[in-house]
Amino acid sequence: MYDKQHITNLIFLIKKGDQNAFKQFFNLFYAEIYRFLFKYLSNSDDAEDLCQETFIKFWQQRQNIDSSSYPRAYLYKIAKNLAFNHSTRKPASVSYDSNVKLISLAGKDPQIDYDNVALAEECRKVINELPERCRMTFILSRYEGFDYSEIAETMGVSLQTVKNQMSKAINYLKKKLII
Amino acid sequence: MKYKNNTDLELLIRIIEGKANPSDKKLFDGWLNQSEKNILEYETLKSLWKKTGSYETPEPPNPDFMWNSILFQINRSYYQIKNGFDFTYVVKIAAVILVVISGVIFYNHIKESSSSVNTNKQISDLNSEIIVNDKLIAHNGEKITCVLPDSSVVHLNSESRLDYPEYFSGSNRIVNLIGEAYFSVKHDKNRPFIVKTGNSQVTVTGTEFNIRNRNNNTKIVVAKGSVNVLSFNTRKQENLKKGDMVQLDDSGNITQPIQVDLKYYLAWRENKLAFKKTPLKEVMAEIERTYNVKSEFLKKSSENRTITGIFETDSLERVLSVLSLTLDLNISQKGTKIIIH
Repeated sequence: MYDKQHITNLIFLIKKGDQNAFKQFFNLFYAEIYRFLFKYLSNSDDAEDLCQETFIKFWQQRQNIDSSSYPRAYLYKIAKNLAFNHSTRKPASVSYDSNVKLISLAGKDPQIDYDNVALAEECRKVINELPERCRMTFILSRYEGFDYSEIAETMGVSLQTVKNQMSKAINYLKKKLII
Repeated sequence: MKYKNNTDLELLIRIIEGKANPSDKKLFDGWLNQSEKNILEYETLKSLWKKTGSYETPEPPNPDFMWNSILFQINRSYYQIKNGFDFTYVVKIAAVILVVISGVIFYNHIKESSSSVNTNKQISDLNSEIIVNDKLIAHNGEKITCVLPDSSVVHLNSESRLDYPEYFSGSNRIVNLIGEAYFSVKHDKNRPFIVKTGNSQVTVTGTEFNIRNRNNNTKIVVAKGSVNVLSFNTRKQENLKKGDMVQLDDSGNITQPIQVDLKYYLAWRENKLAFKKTPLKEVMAEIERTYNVKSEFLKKSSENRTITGIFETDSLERVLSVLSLTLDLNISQKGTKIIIH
């Protein structure tokens, strides 16, 4: 997906304090971190704030990055922690974001758009009903393409916990979305 | 229906996402053929995956804005990062820095007042005024990155100074530059960004370029987009595109744009020194600025020998030893003084 050598080079420069390299790194990952945070928080302002915060923290903690491991996981770890801290301060799913409804309104067929938007909104609602850790686990698997060991690493839990959380999430979503 | 422990959910996900390897597929086929229930379970998961795939997110916000606020934050919090380490130590350092900075500002204030008449004349000459209430000074051995009020970003090289207003009001964004800087200008086609330096004025709406004004000579290179350069004295203009360079001499004569190798002009930003047939005298001037040292030539004839090459700046010793080897000169260093024999 990404050029690993290129990212290793960027991290090397970032650790030396090179802000141009950091800008390149930011450009590579900011969109996916934003999307990830949006899925978890379902609020675009909060997602934007925490996305920015994630990169600031990454820069401040750059000396702790192990260049041999994948920096993307480190970035997600920071984003995940910020998202968890944020939702303890402010309960999720209370905030409603009109952006979700506007996603594909620029399309051609209004009926298809309406259906898509309605479906997206339904998914958003149901995913938001999942308990925190369960929701985070599902999002990392479904939308970020993480495998179980990557999720365990990012969440700081055992593989067995990931398995449990995932089946809990799937069972709930099936009940609500598929019947 | 609940997932039994013997169902490998992760395997099913790999199959659905097309990430399965041959041994996964074999396992999956075996499991699927075991019962009707398994087929149903697989189909249900597949439709759940399809359905949840419709959950899209809005387009991410403008990366430039976000980047500029990140840049602002990380440069501001530079001295606060290690506050868990030894707080009193940080406070002491901060106090020392504060004293030094105020000394510098005071000194510059005195120094500027004598030359201000001349500057004012130049500015009124162009009927556009800059209200300066902020200045950025990079001394020898220093490089500074700063975000301007319009979120344009400026990297200031050693021994350089930038004057800019607290707010950009009116129809222009005007700044003054002495020395060398790289500008990454926030796009705003209604409010041109203007850099005044030496005998020239550079006008852009949003682009990246480097200006180097040393010894009454100004060099402008464009790294991205296009740039308009105007000479104060001759009123001549040139339009530059990416990779173009023009020079202005002390009487404001402007050269035709030529295509140049950008890496020589932008090397300083990556903490490198780059020279192309540069006389040793200029090379030493650049070294003085970068390392905050002084140099002295014992023989005049050495001053005009030329150097080509790119040096990493992390070790002054290494730079000097390469110079002495290539030119076959004896160069010695005593503290902050460099002597070329």
